[in-house]
Amino acid sequence: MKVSSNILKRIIVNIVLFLCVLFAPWWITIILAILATFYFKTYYEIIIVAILIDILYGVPKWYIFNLSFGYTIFSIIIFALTQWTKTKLR
Amino acid sequence: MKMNYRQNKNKKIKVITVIIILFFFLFVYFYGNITSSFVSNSTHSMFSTFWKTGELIKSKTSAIPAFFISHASLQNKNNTLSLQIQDLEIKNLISEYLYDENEELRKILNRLDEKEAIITSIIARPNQSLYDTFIIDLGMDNISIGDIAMANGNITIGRVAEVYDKTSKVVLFSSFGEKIDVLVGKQKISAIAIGRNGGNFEIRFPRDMEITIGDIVSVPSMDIRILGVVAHIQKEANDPFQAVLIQSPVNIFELKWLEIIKNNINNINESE
Repeated sequence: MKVSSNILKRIIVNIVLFLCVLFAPWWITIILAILATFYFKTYYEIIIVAILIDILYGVPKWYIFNLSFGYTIFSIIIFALTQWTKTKLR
Repeated sequence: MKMNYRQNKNKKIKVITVIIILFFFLFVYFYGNITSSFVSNSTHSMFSTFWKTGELIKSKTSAIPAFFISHASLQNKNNTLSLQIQDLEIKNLISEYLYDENEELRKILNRLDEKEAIITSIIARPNQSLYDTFIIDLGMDNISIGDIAMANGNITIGRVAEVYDKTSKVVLFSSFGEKIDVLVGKQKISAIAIGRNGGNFEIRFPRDMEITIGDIVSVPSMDIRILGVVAHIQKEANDPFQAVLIQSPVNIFELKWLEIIKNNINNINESE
């Protein structure tokens, strides 16, 4: 079965992002995730990665209503912003 | 007609997505703790193998950069470090003498504090996320929420925030917004240190209070528990307060081991 190059790129980026979550500094993960959101169409994986980071490393923080979902909230905002930006740039 | 149908379909998908996200947030807000502990536990159990493998690879490959450094540069560094070691050995002798004397005096006064300490390895460090947490290789069988994490014997690092089957999360006292009671300098001035991430803290004192760079900041306890050292003092012309910036004496990004001891520190966040 021939996998399109775009899907293959997406799979590779997802694997790299997954490894970054585990081993790379946080700023590399964030930059890579944001770039992937702009590059790929409807990159939902950024929200999944953010939820993963919150589950693995998160603790409740007073400035996010004592919840540990800071990255998730941030990723949803980034996702919505990039989708909006892309529609405006078309 | 086709265009209208496609636009309506897209609009429907967007509305449904927004509703799902809203429900998700409502669910998490009201029931988050129940689901998150089960989900976190399973996720941590799954990922602990990856972290341990990563640490193993790091430890095996840590010597590789040495191949690219010149011999002369290594020789210079070696000489500098040898001199520093000599100096530190002398200081260490004095510290050991004073420590033994302190223990002896406390024994006489019957104030010895027998602390239960468990050594654990660190499998993920604070630079992995903005939360400033360690993931350690101990689970709920050995430690409990609220236990204190120390480094190098007497340096207070953080508290155990969550425990799972095989791993636990330690949140640093220097994590942004964390507060802890401390004593500053030789006069043991009582204050509250606020975390500023990356092993740094801030305390605000009245402007006329005498604080010196190098003053030791400790946590109130029967034994020696150092939080950090005063690294910088900021005074603004119109501000009646001074911002005292404190730095942890250990590099939290290079720590490999922590000691976990039973809690008897007043961490303000726990009482909130």
